[in-house]
Amino acid sequence: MTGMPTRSTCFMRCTRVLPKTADENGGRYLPNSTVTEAGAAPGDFRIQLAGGEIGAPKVVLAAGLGNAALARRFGLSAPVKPLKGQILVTERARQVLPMPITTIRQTVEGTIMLGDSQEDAGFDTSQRPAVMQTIARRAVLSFPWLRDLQIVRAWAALRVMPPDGLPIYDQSERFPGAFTANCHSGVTLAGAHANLFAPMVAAGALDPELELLSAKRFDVSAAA
Amino acid sequence: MVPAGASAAAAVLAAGFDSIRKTPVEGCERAPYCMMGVCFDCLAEIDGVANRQSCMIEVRPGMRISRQMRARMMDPKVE
Repeated sequence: MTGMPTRSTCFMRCTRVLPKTADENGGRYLPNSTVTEAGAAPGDFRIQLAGGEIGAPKVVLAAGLGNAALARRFGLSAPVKPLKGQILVTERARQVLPMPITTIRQTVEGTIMLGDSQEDAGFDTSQRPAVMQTIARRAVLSFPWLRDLQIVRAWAALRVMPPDGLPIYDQSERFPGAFTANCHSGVTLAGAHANLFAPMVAAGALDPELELLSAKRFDVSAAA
Repeated sequence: MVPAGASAAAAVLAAGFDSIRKTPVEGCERAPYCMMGVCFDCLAEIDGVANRQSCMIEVRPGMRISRQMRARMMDPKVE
C-alpha cells in the first residue's frame, strides 16, 4: 500500500478527467449552469438552464446538497443536510504513513491531511480556530512526529449528509428514468458508483438490494 | 549581495543560482517564481528548518540557506 493515492489525490484527478471523459464519449460538460426550471414525465425530462433547455430520457441527480431542492421536481426525495468539516494540510514530507487512517492521511506527494471534525453549522463554511486546534492536538497525540510539520493551508467544507449517514439511491416511481445518488462521501464510494450504480442506471433499474438505501426508509410509518 | 529587506529567495537568485529545490515526487529542479508567497516554488531549508518559503523570509547575515531536496524527512520514532 506504499504510495497508494488517498482520496484527496483521486478527487483532484477526477475533476480534471471528468469533463475530458464526457467529451470523449459524446457527452457535454456544462459548468456553472444552475437549473432554473424542470419538467418531468416518465422517460422524458426537460431541464431549463440559463443557457437553454436540455431534454433527456434519463436524468441522474448527483448535485449533493442541491439535491434536496431538485429532487422534488423529479418525484424523488433527497433529505440531505450540510455537515461542516475542517481540514489541516501539512507541508510535504517523505513517505512515513503508507496507509490512510480515518483522520490522518498522507498523499502520494507527501502532504499529510488531518481532519474529521463535524459541525452542524448550516451552509457556513468559515473556519474555527478551536476546531483546528483540536484536530492538530489529536493528530499529535497519535503521532508525536507530526508536531514539527508546518501547516501550509486549512479549509472548511460541507459534507452531504443523509439523516442516518447512509447513502440514498432511488429511481423515481412517479417519473421512471429519474435517478438520484446521495452520500458522504461520493469520493469514498466512487468505485461502487462507477462499477455498480452506473450500470444499474444504464440498464434502467436499480438492483433490489439497493431498496434498503431508498429514501422510503425515512418514512417511518410506511417502512414499519 | 542584496539590499537590506530583500528576501532569502532574492538573495539566492542574485547569487546566480538557477534552482533552489527539487520537487518531492519527480525531483525536478525549481527556482523561486512568484516572489510573493503563493506558488511554493521557493521552498528551501533555512537555518535548519525545511520547506520554508524563502521569498517570505528576510535575508540576514549568517543565515544558512540550503536547497530543499525533495520532501522533508520525518522521523516516525520521535517521541
